[in-house]
Amino acid sequence: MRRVVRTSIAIIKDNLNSPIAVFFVLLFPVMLALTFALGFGGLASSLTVPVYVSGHEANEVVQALNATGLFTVHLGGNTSVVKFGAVFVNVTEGGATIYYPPYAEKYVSVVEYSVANALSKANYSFSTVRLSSPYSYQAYVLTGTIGAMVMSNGVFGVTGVAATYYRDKLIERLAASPLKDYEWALSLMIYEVVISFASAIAIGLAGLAIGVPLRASLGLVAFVVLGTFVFAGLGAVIYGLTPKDRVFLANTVATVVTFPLMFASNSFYPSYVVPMPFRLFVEYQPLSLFNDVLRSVTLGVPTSPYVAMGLVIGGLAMLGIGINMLKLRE
Amino acid sequence: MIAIEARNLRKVYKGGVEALKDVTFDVERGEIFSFLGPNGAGKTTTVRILTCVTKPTSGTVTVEGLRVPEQCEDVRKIVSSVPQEFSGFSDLSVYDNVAYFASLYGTESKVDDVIDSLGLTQYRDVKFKKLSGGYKRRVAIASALVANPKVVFLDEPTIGLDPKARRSLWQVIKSLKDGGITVFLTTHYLDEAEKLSDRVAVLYQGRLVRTTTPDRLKEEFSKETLEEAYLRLMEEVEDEEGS
Repeated sequence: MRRVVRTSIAIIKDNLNSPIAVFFVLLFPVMLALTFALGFGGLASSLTVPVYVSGHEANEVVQALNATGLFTVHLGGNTSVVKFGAVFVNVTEGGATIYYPPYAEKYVSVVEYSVANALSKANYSFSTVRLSSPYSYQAYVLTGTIGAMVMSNGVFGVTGVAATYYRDKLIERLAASPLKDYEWALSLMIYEVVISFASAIAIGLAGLAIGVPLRASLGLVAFVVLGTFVFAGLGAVIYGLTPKDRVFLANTVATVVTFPLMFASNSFYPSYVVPMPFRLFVEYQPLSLFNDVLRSVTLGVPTSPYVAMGLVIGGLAMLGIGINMLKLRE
Repeated sequence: MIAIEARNLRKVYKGGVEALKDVTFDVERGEIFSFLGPNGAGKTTTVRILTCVTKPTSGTVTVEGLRVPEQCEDVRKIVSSVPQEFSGFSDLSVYDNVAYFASLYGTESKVDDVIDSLGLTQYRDVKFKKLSGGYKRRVAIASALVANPKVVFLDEPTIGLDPKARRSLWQVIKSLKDGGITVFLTTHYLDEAEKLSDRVAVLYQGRLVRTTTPDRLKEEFSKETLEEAYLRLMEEVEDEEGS
């Protein structure tokens, strides 16, 4: 165990001393999180509340809500938008039902007033439904960014570090030392876990700075570790299968694999905005499933226990595969 | 006393490339033994087998009486290697690099002595990547020596260094022998082999074509320098291959 600790410390110090690594581990995730959380609608929804309107005379309702200046109003949607911090108004001939997340409770009376004005009908009945979705769009994006960074740190941490150490003959030197294969792989995995936590903490602090605190929990810690194992295992497979005379090809392959996974996932936007059949990929690809589990432990969104169980089994399996693929010796 | 004994060593890589063909040699304890040969002759493959990085396809090897690959766990505790163009952890200091390798062998108490003996004391807090090529090579050797090894493998240790740095490193290599360490050296530089080696072995396309002393090889071909004798030997071998 002593060799694992010393090797992990050496890898961590060696890599986190570099400004490039600090950028990719700390600044890049914060930039990504803030860009998506604030830049793409998040800022607007932090100043004005997003409202989706559907049903009978919806256009009139949209106009009335827009006139208040309090809301960013969209036509269409369904109750699932509440999961992402929006209010949903379903207008019928006899009334309207307003679905809202807890934070938007103070706006419900304004919405009711605007809808009533728009429809100009007497005896109009309103019902309101508070949906237990205690998170905002920003919290959704911040958590998704943690997932995306766990994936990219896991994959690139292995392919980048291992390829560099292979080029520098450090791996050859370690292969002739008493360091065992599993000790080397475990040390590399520990480095991945450390940078994943560093990224997660940076994103958490960015959340605090914009007034969106994320709930830290043992579950979050456990799943960040497991997620790192899953994706570091993927990186190990890519590295292991790359011909060693072209070892830096591993980074190219990692880019080709991870970018679609990162941006065609539910990390930065809800999957329902993606048309079928692509939505199926976005919903069920590994990073999205991992994000679902992360959101369940940070935001309290219920998720299937099978997904969490799959992550545990997958994490341990990928750890085993990774250790096997990262052998120091032939 | 024999430090390394290799018998009928053969290595065939995936894809069928035969890197070593029936190679047999001994290395005496405490000598500097140089492996010579053109690129692709099998020098690095031999070192990789002897340091337990890869397994031979067939043949037997012992290092300090320990069988390779069966007793590799024990072999790795008593040998050290400096791979060709080895870089340490580039963003760690000289001290941290040497101390890390010491920690793998449980020899942390030797770190300061080794740094001092290789003339690295004034650079101990300098990052590896900031060092000149010659000092990087010294750190690499320090990282090997701190293991307190019985056998050190140096794969092209002076490649790419300027003449002054090369000569300075030769002194370091000679001091290893003086310290009773067996040195297994691979090199392209014949002047280096001539200056340093007790014995040389010449590999050509995976075959061992000579194991002798530098003086005997010069005598055999009536040449003044090892380089001239080596070139003559290569011509002879190529002629044999051609006919």
